[in-house]
Amino acid sequence: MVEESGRPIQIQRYSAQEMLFNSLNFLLFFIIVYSAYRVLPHRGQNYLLLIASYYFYACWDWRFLGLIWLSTLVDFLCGLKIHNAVSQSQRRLFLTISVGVNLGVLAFFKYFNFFMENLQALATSAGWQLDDVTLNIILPMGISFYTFQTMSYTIDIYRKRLEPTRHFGDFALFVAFFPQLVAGPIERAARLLPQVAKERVITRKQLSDGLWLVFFGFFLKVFVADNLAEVANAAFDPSAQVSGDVALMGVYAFAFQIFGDFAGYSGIAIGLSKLMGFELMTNFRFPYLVTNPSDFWKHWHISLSSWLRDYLYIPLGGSRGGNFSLYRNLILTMLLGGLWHGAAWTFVIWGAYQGGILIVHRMLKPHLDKITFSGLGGSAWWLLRVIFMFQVICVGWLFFRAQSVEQIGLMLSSILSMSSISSVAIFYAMQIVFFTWVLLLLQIMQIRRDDLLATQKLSAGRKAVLFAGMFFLMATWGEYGGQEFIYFQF
Amino acid sequence: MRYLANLATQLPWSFYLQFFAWLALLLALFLIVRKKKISGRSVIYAVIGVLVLRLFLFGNPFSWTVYSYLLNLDDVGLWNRAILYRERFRYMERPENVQYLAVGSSQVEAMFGEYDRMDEGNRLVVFSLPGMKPMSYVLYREHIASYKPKTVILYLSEFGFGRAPKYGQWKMAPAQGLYTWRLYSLVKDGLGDESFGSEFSQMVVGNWFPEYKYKFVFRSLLDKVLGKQEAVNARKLSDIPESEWFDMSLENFKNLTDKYIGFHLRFLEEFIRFCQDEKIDVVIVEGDYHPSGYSEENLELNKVVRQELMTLANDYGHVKFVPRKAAYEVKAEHFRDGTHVKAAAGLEFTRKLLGYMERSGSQGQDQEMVHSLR
Repeated sequence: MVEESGRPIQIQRYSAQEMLFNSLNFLLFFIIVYSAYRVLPHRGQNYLLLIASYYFYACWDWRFLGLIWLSTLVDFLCGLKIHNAVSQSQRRLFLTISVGVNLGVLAFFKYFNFFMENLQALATSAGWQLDDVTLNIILPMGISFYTFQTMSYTIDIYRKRLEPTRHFGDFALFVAFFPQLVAGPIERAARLLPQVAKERVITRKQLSDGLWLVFFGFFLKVFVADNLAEVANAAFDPSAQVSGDVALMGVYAFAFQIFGDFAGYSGIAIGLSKLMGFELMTNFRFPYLVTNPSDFWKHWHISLSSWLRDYLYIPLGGSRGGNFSLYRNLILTMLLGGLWHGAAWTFVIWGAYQGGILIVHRMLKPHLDKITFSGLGGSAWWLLRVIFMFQVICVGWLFFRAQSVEQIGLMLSSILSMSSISSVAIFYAMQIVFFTWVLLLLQIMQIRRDDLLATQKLSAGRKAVLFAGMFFLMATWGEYGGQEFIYFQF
Repeated sequence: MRYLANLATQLPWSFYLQFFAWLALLLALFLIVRKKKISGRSVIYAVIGVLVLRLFLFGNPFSWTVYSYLLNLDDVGLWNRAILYRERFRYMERPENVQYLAVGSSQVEAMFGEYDRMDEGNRLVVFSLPGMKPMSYVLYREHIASYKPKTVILYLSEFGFGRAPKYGQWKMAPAQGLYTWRLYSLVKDGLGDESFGSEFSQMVVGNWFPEYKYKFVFRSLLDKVLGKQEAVNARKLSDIPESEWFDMSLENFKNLTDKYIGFHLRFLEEFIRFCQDEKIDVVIVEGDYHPSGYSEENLELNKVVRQELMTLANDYGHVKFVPRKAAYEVKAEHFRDGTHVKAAAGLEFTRKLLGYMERSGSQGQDQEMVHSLR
């Protein structure tokens, strides 16, 4: 884990070819697990899932299983202790232990080098010389996801919103459930634990919805995200000085890449869980068809944004206490949300930007609400706001995807000083259109019916055309290079 | 359009029978599912839709003719261009009374192609794919046997044996069915620890999903429609002058290694055994290349490969080995680049080789020649 000291920050990435959802290895793994799952009784199913989950994680890096076990053990015991504590101070003590262990592990593996490096830079600028104490640390897969998930368990017990489970195996499965272990959705114990504990009945609807979600998730990953990765990678290549028009296309491509990648992963996770009788929370709705930042966060990475709302923003005071505290709480929440994604100033800037646009929206909301149109005018006004909001979101994606603060500056200035459109940018633009049109059509259908599973309600003939068409697009134009999911690195 | 109309008349009736039988079967299935209101209809309809789409996009020579008309060398590259041709002619009836079938890479096409084009009696026919190596003989064994040749001519040397198998080409091979298992063990044993799983998986997936297997067609069409080549200012293959091709081809001789000889031999022997079962004689003609590639290392490698080929010829009664220069000596001036001979030289070589084989027979060893090599 800690391999060598005295080296500059170096967060290593996994080769990650082993257990990607979009790999044959995973397909084989799931077929074996699922076949056994369907014939086992409830308790046997839970033990099977637990072993399978640990095996799934060990395929990435078995050394970090110890961290999952540590989180599991500490939070299981702390949960019981908090519940059984006789005094408030005892309750607080065990909550502190739980949160401390989780955040301590997270801080060490994710933020230690970032902190030390910046401390050193600060000291140097003040004229002091500090020894180099950065470490060569490998970021454990999914650590940000499962630590947040287990922390919510003890916090909810502390708040007396949840009874602790007495079954260690059930709790271990809640922490390590393989479909959502490495990239979410970040589940709440109140929702997932009862499903673990209770005997599950797999309905026909769950099977059909689950299969559709897995299929659609694959489509988002291999057709949308991995194809657009090529455009985004070219535009964000720090060694290449790209023109403003290409940079702009790169940002648009990344907007759809990250959506396809992460929503695709979440869809597959939710779909696989449905096939096993579990209901996970929705993680994405139609985030690019919203008209303001507040709605964006109700549609994007919902499991994280609601976690931050419930365990950070509201405890900080939320919207109570006047405008200043509201703005402060928004900024703090989004800054930490940015840092959750990674230890880099680009994420801090992204978080601050998200906080900033939320504040601006709060300020403008009373005025914007007064502007109303009816009929076609209303639709045009909605579309105008959606397009504007998409640009606002894309500025954020530039901060998020950039390799450094310098690159943010370079790309922003090249986009703002753009004077012509090159043939490369036109080619990229057409690629973006080609690889996103199906997604956009489906999202429009979903938003019109306000139903993420709207396609399931189509007639058999229409559904067949949709399935066959998507299958054809996926098989012929899909990228099957085994590209890692972006959120694995968080 | 006229070409397509001509093609329609040249196709064997068995093609139309098969094509329309499939359509009728799928239509019948669709009607049954609709009438019986079977649950999960949408998925069954989708599968039927995909199969119909397959028939129209991949399962007939007309679509392949359209693809090869739309996509040129610059759009798809050498290998894929050859695949377009292969698919286009797959449905045609094979020439009758084929005595010799020359099988191999573009070297084979250069060496035997001119004779094939001039030979109206189909005495010798060529089946070649760019970069074809012994593994591809095995992958295309059924296709090769479908010509019903009396003798298969292979053109092999250290130039092919000294290079790594082209994993990317596995996917494009015909579906292997149950033979996949045999193939897996051959590849696994042949490559040892080397990672081949991903390419092998791609081949297996490609066997089941032609949409995936032939995705280069649609990707290239998309790139063409979107103007990728002009946008990224990519250099066209067709713009490369002959002199540069020559220099590039000489690069091929620099990194020949003995590392893959065992792997190639394993597949060559498998193919030889297949030919034995099919009662097809095999003539292994020792291949040649431009003398500027005759480095000391390559000549050493030549001895090793030649010895292995002679051993095979001794072990199998239906195999004959014809050493380099036995029938006709190819000289530097005969080459148009480092590996391919000019058409006239190829024609001359083929004539001499066929004459040589008729004198010495296509089986058994020319003991005098073999002895002189030892």
